[in-house]
Amino acid sequence: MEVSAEQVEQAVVEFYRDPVAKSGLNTWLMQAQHSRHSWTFAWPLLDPRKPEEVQFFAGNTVYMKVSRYWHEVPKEEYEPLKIKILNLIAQYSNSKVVLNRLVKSLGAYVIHTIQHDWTTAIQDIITMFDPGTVPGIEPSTALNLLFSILTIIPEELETMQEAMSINSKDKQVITAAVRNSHQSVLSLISQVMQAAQISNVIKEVVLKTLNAWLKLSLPLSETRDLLVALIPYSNYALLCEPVMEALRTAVTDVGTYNIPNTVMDFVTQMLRLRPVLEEAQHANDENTASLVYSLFTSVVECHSRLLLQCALQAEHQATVVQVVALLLQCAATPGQYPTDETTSNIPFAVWFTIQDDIMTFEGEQQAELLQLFQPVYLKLVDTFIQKSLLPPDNALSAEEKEMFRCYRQDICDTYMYAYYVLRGDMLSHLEVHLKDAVVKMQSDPTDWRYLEAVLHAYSSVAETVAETDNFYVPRFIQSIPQIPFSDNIQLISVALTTLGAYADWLNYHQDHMHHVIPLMVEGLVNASLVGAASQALRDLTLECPLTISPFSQPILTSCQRALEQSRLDSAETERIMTIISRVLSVGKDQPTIMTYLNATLTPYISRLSQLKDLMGSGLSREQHNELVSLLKLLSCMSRHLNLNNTAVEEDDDEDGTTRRHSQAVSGGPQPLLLVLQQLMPLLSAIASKASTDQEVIEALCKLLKNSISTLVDDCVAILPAILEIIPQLYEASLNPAILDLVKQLVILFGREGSQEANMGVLLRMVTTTTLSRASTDLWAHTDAVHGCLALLTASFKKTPNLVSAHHNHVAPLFHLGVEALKLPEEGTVRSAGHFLSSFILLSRDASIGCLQPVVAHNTETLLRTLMFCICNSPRHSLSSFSDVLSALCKMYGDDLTRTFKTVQADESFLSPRVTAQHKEEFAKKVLKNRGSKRRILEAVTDLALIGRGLAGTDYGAQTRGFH
Amino acid sequence: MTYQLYRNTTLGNTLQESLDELIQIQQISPNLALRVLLQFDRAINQALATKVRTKISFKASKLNTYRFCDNVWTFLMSDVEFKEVQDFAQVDKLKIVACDGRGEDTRQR
Repeated sequence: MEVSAEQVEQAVVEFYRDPVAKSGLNTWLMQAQHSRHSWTFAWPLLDPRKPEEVQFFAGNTVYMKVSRYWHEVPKEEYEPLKIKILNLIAQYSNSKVVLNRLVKSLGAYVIHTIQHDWTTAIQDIITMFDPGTVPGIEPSTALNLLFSILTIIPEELETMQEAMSINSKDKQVITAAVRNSHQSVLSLISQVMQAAQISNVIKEVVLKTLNAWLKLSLPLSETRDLLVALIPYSNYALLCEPVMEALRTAVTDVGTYNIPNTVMDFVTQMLRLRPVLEEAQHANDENTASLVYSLFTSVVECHSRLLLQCALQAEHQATVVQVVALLLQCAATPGQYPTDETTSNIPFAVWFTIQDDIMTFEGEQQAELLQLFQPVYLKLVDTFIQKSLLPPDNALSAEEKEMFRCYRQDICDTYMYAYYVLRGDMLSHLEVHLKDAVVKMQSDPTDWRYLEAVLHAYSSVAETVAETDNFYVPRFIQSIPQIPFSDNIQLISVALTTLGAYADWLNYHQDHMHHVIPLMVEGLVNASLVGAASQALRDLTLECPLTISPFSQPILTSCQRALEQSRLDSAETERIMTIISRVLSVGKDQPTIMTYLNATLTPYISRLSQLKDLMGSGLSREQHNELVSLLKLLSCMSRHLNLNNTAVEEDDDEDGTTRRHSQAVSGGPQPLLLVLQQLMPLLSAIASKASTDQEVIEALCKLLKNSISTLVDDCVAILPAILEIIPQLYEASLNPAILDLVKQLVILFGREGSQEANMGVLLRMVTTTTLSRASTDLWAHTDAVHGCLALLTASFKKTPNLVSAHHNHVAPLFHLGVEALKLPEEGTVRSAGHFLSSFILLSRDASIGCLQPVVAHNTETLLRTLMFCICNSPRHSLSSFSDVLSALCKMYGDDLTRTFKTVQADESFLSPRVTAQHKEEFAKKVLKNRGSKRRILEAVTDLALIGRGLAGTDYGAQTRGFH
Repeated sequence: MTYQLYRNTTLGNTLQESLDELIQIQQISPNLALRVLLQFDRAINQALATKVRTKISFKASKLNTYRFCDNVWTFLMSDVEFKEVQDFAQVDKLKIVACDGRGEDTRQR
């Protein structure tokens, strides 16, 4: 299209004025910008007399053309174009918005020409914009302009690969060409920084230029003197940040790994920043202090191994110690985080890095480093105990509380790293703190925060010490009963949490169990502590099923009292039910268990029965939630009440500690079965009344699933009731939880003579219902389709006899699988892929003759669907399509060759992006590689990229492997 | 640290689907899409490394497979219980892919 400057001007003005026409004008203007005419119309519009938006559009057009349409510029036009841009920059030197576009245009121009045509670009620009000689521009403006241009050039280099379609090889060559001019830039920067008459505002721009050039990986040996000379400028608030940024860029550059001596020398020089830091601390200038600490944190994170190597050398050790001391000082910044200070969190990552790198050294070197860093980490522990003290109540806002919680979490992690360095020394150190804290607490019960912080530290290392410590942890555990908690709820909660964290250790040290159980059982009957106590006891019963057995009586008594006395929330009740179930599962005879269960469960079952009766007239929201909670409670019991799960197997460790593990079997019917036999009529009644209530269905299915997992073959006794419930529920509601339950049953009983027929009926019910209800609207029932196909896949693998028994279902199910491939949900497509692959692979099995004709008659439909989905469905499903294609290739290679030809002949299929040639190549690749799933996936990916118009693009290449 | 493994997450997949679609309807160029994707890599790596403070512990009944290849750990587990303070979640199967969380500069040594 022919476009004139006047038309563009009018369109831009209209674009900003007329909201109705905006969209159409935008398209037109974009087309105009991309057309060759924009080389002509842009220049006259860059006229200060034109409206500002028109000038900006023109400036932007020039930048876009120079950066992305360089190939349209004939070589003889290079020089005139450069002159035009330079003149416009001079002309617009005081108009920031348009100037920015023009400076970027010059940056793009330099990148395109510096390699061959304007090799002296940087030096020429420095000369051209020399404030002393440039005519018509204020010296300060000229200086600002010069450094803006010098900043833009390396920045444009960063983006040129994407924006200018320059490949990575050319990018390296161009970067090298720009980098070659660094000396003149560094020299200019040095001069300007030293010039007293130049303002800090300009110097800030200069430092940004330096930072941009440092990112080109300039050699530290050449930049070091300039950078060291900059350190005094960090005293000026405006310059501190850019100076720190420049130092950081230089010292963390990848190239510095090859010059360790230079780096160490530079880090030593950087310690000259300490007076800056002291001054900042004196003046309460947190910003400057943070910048300095962040810089040293980056140094350690980047060069920790080098620093550790140097710490082993006498001449450098002092530098390393000083750097680490600086960060330790940062961690110990006085005041409450985050209200008084926000700097102590800066070096958290450092403590992990140092510890991690120390462990990579071996033998004497590691020992020497551990010795050197032992006082550092001990001091760190002291610091963290102080810094993690809880603030007075209401001292922090909700947001600050959350920040402090995160801060304590970081401290918690760092204690763990400190333990790896200190081992027993840390526990010994904590012991000293514990004694101090107890003494303080004894003299003043209100002074409990110190003790809380120490217990927090103990809990942080609980999983790390595991069973290895036999000296300090026992002393800690023994000291628990002596701690004067003074009924301080917060403190006891932390103590309970801490003891729960040591559950694994206690499993290997049964003789210490009696120190912790009393606090836990007492906690259970205290309404304020039941949360923490039930949590800790749950951990203990899960980790120590056998070692806890001697304490079952007090635990069960307290659990019973807790259930009777307190108003518990559902999570607490579930935890207590878990504790009861776990404790009853070990070392109890059946009558005892049943007596206890009857006493415990009767009120809940009665309430469940009441709620069932109320269901007819409709439950309130609270009653409904109560019903779901009760089912979840029973579900907890059915998961954990398992007599076949625990028994004794003893062996002795080298150190004589008795180890106990779970395993073995008991005789007699499981108590759970006896409970369920009584419960099933009630559950059936609930199922019939709540067959469309998704929450109830899910809770009920979970309860039945857990019961089947626990009872395994023993659940045959309640199977008829379960088989009655399932159809009721599924016919009313296609909930995937039901399918999950069916899958479990089919796998368990599908091959068992007495139940095979029942399982066949169950499977037929599920497939019939899914086909009749879901097939009409797959999008609305994608989760049911997903579950049904997953169930059938499992059945193909474990019980193929069941699927093939119902011939008339096989073809509709195959169609369901093919249609499901088109759904957008990844899980459903994957499930469909597995189903179709299993179907195809099994179809050649002579014993299941009904599958083969279905595949043979539907090969073309399947192939078309697969190719359509490859080109149109989300790409994360490509591997599913590829798997089906692989199976088809493997089992129906000849049919597939013929089918491919038919599909190729259909020119309209997948056009216009996928041509007949593409289809032919795809068919060739697939058929040629029928034995290789990986190559078929490659062919599928290639077709997917072609179908999306992404073949041959960097984006396509970068994203071809993500599935 | 800019690992690309987060592209294969719900967020990453959805972004790529959107980018694919925008390219096909010619709203953006493939180059811009690539730039967006690289920015996503940077942002998600940065966010997960610095913004997440939630601690979740888990215990698996069985560790089926583990491997360490190209500095990437992979664990396949079954019957796993996750615990976050007082909340629990139970999953049948779990796959963990773990990369070195430290900065790119540090890893390049």
